[in-house]
Amino acid sequence: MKCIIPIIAVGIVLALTGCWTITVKHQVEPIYITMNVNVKVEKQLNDFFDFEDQGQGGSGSTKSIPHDKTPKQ
Amino acid sequence: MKKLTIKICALFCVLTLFAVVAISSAQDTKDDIKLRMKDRFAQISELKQSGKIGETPSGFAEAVSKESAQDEKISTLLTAENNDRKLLYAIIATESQTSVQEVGMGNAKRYFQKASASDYFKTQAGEWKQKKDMMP
Repeated sequence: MKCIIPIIAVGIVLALTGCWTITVKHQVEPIYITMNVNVKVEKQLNDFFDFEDQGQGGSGSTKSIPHDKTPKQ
Repeated sequence: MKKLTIKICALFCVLTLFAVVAISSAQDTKDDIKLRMKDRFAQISELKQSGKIGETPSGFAEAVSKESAQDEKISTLLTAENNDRKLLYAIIATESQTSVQEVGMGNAKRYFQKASASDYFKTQAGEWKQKKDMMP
């Protein structure tokens, strides 16, 4: 009789663990898609606004600072 | 039967022509926007440098102070700039299969990364701050 209770307990634990499911795949997929879209948008914006880098340094409001300040002779 | 085939071929040709015109006009629009924005770029940069206009988190330019907002020249420039940005964001959103808001936010991020420390940015709370004060 004493052996029946642990056997039933082990049986319940095994039955419960058998019902567990792992849903990792569903959480990873949307992150991957969002990152893909962001990279695509970033590239399109950079390609479109390439004139900002050609004309002036930075966003246009930024001015390039001369590194060499030694006076010319 | 022969007439029907000719009609179907004609319809196909017309539809193809429409598709080609639609695609080419969409491309023209993007190029047109680029040209207009390129023309305005120097003025926009100057206003940003003087602290009269700044960037919002949604990717649009806005007057920082009430005085700047009341300036007719600035408001006309901002309207034109933001109209073009709206069109551009819509085109990129369609091409990238994302939302216009997402593209706008992406551009706001790009502006922030490229801006100088004195440039103004609007916070989510609607407050204007210089980039140097927003950096951690």
